[in-house]
Parts: sequence; C-alpha cells; structure tokens
Amino acid sequence: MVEFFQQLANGIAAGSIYALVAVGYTLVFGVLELINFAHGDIMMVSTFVTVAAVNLGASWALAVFLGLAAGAVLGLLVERFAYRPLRGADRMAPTVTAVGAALVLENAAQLIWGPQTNPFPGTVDNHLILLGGAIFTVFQLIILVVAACMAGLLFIIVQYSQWGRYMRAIRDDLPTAELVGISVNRIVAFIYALGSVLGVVGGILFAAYYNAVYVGMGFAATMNAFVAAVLGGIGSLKGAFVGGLLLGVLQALAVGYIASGYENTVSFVVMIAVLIIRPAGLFGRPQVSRV
Amino acid sequence: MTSTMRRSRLAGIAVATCCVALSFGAVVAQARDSYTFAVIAPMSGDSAAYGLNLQRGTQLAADQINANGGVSGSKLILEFFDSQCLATQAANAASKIVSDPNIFGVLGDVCSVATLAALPIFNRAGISEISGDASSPNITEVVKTKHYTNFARTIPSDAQVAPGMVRLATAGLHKRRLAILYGNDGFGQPLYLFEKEALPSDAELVASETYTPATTKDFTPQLTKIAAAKPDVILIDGYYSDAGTAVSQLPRVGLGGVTIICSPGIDHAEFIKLAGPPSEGVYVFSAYDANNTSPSNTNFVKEFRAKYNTEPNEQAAYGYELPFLMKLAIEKGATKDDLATVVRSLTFVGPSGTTKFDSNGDVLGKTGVVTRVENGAFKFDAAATAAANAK
Repeated sequence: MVEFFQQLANGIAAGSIYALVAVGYTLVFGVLELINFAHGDIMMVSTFVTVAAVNLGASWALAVFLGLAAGAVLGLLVERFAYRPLRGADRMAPTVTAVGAALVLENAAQLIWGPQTNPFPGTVDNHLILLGGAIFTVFQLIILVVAACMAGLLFIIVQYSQWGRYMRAIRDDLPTAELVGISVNRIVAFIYALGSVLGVVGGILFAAYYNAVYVGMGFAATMNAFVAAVLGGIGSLKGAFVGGLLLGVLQALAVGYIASGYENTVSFVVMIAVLIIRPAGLFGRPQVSRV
Repeated sequence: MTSTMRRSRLAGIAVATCCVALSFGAVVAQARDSYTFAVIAPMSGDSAAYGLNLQRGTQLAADQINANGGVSGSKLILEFFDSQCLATQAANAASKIVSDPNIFGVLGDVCSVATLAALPIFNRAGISEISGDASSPNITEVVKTKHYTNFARTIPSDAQVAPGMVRLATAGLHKRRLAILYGNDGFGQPLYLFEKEALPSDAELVASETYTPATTKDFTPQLTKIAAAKPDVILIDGYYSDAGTAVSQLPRVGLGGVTIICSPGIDHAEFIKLAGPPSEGVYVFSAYDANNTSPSNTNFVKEFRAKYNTEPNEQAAYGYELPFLMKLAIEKGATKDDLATVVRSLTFVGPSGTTKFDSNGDVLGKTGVVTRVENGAFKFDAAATAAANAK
C-alpha cells in the first residue's frame, strides 16, 4: 500500500511535467487547430539556454528568465516563418513544416551542445517527507504546485482577460475575428509564445527532477505531451492538464505493477485506446464535420 | 594455315602467357602501400565517451606505428565510423564499411549490441572484426553456433565479470539482500542472468528491475520498487549515462545510503559528473587496471597523458593494443580473409596484460579490477579487487 502511494507520487510528479507541456500543445491546437510538433524542441532549446546561463555564472532567476524569453522568441520565430505563410493551406502542410522546424531545432542544439546527456547544474531539493512509511520529496510537491499555478494562470488569462477573449474569438471563427478588427497575427503570435513559455517551465522542471538535460528530451516530451493532450481531449486546456497527470500516473503504475521498461508502451497503448474508444478524449468536444 | 603463321601464332600465345604470368606474379608480390582499418564505435549519442576514448587509443597506436616504419613499411590508416551503440546504426555503418574494398579489417565495436548487429554483415563480406571492448557473453554464443571465424576480442567476457560482482557483494562486503538494475539490451540482460546464476545459497535476490538504455530518464518507478524490497546492495548493469542518471535519483526514494556496485562500462568520468554527490563510495568494475606497473602499461599511460592531457581508460588502453595486434598479424602473413584466424593464434603483451585467445576468439586468463569513487574520482580498491577475483 505504501509502495502504491509512492508510485502515485512518482506518477503525479512526472505527470505534472507532461501536463505543462501538454497544455502548451493544446493551447495552439484549441485556437488554431494545428499540432505544433516543434513545441517539444522549443522547450528543449530553452532548457539548454537556462542550463548554459547557470553554468556561465548567471543567477537562477536570470537564467530562468532567459530560458522563458528564449522559448517565447523561438515560439514567435517558428510561428512567423514556419506557420504563418501556410495559414490558408491544407492542414497537412503546417504539420509537415512543424516537424521540419523540430528537426532544425534539434540538430542545431546538437551542434551547439553535443549529443550527450548533461547533469542539471545545482542540487535539487532532495528533502524527504515521510508520511506513514512512504517517502515523498519536497521537489515532487514543488512540481505539482508550479504546474497547478501555471495552469491556473493560463485559465485566468483565457477566460477573463481581453486577449483571452480575442483568443477564444479566433478559435471560434478566425475570418470573422479578423473582420471585427482583432489583430489576428498579433494574437496568434501571443498564443505560440504563451504555449512555449508553459512548455519551457515544464522542461526546466523535467531537467531538474531527472537530473538530465539532453537533446532528445524534446522528442520525448513531444510524444508524451501529445498523448496526454489526446487523452484529455485535444483542444481542452482542462483536458490536457488532467490527461498529463493521468498519463504520468498510468506509466508509474505500469512500471510498478506490470513490468519495468514499459513507460513508452503505456503511452502508445493509451493513445490507441483513446482513438478507438473515445476519439474526443476525456473532455474534448466531439468534432462535427460538414458533409 | 601456313607453318610460318602457325609459328608466329604460337609465339604470340607464348608471349601473352608470359605477360599474364608476370603480371600475376607482380600482383602477388606487390605489398599494399597502406593498410586501412575501419574503427567502428559510438562516436555520438549517449555513449560518445566510449568512442572518443577508443579513437584516442587507436590513433595514438597508429601514429606510433607509422613513426616507426609502419606495417612492413606500409602506412597504417584508421577510418572512423559511428554506430551510436545502436544495432540499427551499427548495421548501417557495417554496410558502408563492406562496400569499401580498401578496408583491410575492422576494429571495434565498443558496445556488444552494435558488435552483434554488424558481425553477420562482416562475416558475409569476408572481413574480420577485432574488438577490444564488446564483452557480452552472447557474442561467444553467436560465434560458436554460427561458426564465425572472422571475430576475436581482447576483453574478457561478462560471463566472468558478473560472478565477480556478486562475489564482491556477498563474500567481500557480506551483503545478503541483492537488487539488480539492468539495461534492457544485449549488454545488461546477460549480466543480469549471469549474476542471478552466480548467487550463493545464503544470499537472496530481492528485486530486479530493468530500463530502456538511453531512453529512460525517470528511474523513480523502478527505484521505488527496489526500495520497497529493502535491499542492502544494488548491482547496476549498463552504460555510464544511464547509471549516472539512475544513481543521482537514488536519495529521493530513500536509497541514499545503500551500497552500489556498477558493471564495467560505468567506469567513466561522465558517470561521476551525471550522478553527482550520490556517486561517492560507489564500487565500479573495470576491465582495465590503470595502475598496473608493467613497463608496457606505464609507457602507454605516460604517452597517452602527454598527448591528450587526460588519464586513459578501458577503451583507450584496449584500443591502443588493437593496431599493434594488427601489425603483428600482418607481419605473420595474415591476409584480409584470414585476419581473425591469425589473430587468434597470437600471444600479445600490452597495457591490458597478456592476451591469448581460445578457439572462439575469446581472451583467456584476464581479470579486471574494482575501483571506488572517492572525492569525485575513481580510486583503485585493492581489497574489493581481491574479493571480486577470488576463486
């Protein structure tokens, strides 16, 4: 029983990180119906920027700020050069350019920082909390709190701010939004930047928690966050958050009770199950297409 | 035909035959003006440190050989290929190598999974592969069952290492509750199986967990399971990058004070860098004894330090021996086709000790050493080494 709670805690910590990255994904999809495959690699490059800044002697606050800024800038650049020119085109086109952008980012990062796994600079708070025989760490708690706060912040922006209203208008009907005078280009850029920032926070937490900063983490995050977003219902922010947590927990329990080495299997089995049983996901709106 | 024409026709045939015979002789007697060897190793990816060290060791040897007259007067050239420690990449690199007719033989791979993937390709093409670091017992099985004559390795098989790790834990450190964390590939799995077999009757395997090499970064689920079984020693079988990340996550599941014993391959400075403070006191096995006082080793260490400004490790030392082994084989008359067969008949003394082969191309009689991480560096541990190598 004790072990179950510990695996649950492991799962929630990993899941919170997936949730952050998934929310960034779903934000872009929800408004623009585009899967931003470059999301994970933007997160990876920004995490490297943060780590590089710390290694060069910058303070943590400055390094994190630089990482977030890098994420926002990269999000804007990718949107401007890979997606905007294809806005009217068939849906496949921006999906393909997204993969292209991801590959460019991944290889550029590999050229700059090398292909090996680097340790996370500085020690993470490894203080243990003992609760009825189970061991949790303070950092697991920190991750959950940060993820919840960021998601809450996003919710407030989308539901109650003016720009949030513009975002929802664009989601409902882009041409009409343009007609009523909403500066679509600016809002869309803002969406990408916001999504990237969320992803970067997830990336930094990932690197700190697992003590691993490596070029492949973008792809790993992309896969898991994508499955989480599909599980929760792609387009739904609440769904992405819950989906991320659920995926993390399922993975930890699968490793804990079925067999170790099954993390990736769980991701793909979940995705297949969702697509077969309930394609709209847990909280998604069933898509109605005009025939 | 008139008799004159017949005679001149005969003369023409005779001249032509002589020319052909002479040119044949010329081809046979002509020595190659250079011997090119392909070196296949993980040059990029999570195991790149292995490849870098192999490159350094082999290049140092090649430079020394060429400075001292080469191989029977011909230059020894090395060409490096990247296998990334992955079966798929190794197969690609092997295809590239066999399509180049200039390559005389192959040195490598470091990783057993890469070696196993490339070996059939080399065998079909009739080219030999000599490895200084691929230690999986699976290779012996494959060579035996498929009757490969194109392979030899100078590093002892893990079939000897695994029992040594268990001996250190039980007889040496008096532990009774063993847990094993192993990589789910052709390197980690055989180590785990041999360790299981080598358990004495008064010790117990309380937990065994696996992970996907180079992919798994979150070891907390596996480590939580191991922690629940309350082991007093954990054996880790895998590569330095995974072991480093796993060890750094030990304290957070409450395994901070448990004794850790690591397989060869983890004997890399990168492991200590990745693991951080939890790496203090960890035992790490190595197939190479850097402190060996033999003249061959002390010279090598001195020259390696002077050229690269760093200490040599297993891949560097075993890699250094390979070009010299090739030189010896070629000077004994080895051709591209029978290179490995000739190598298996040799006895060679180098930084790793004395190398002699059995009929499967496996090396006889070598033992490794045990080091312990102290103040962020590997330090030779005599007591642990003795316990591991005791019969």
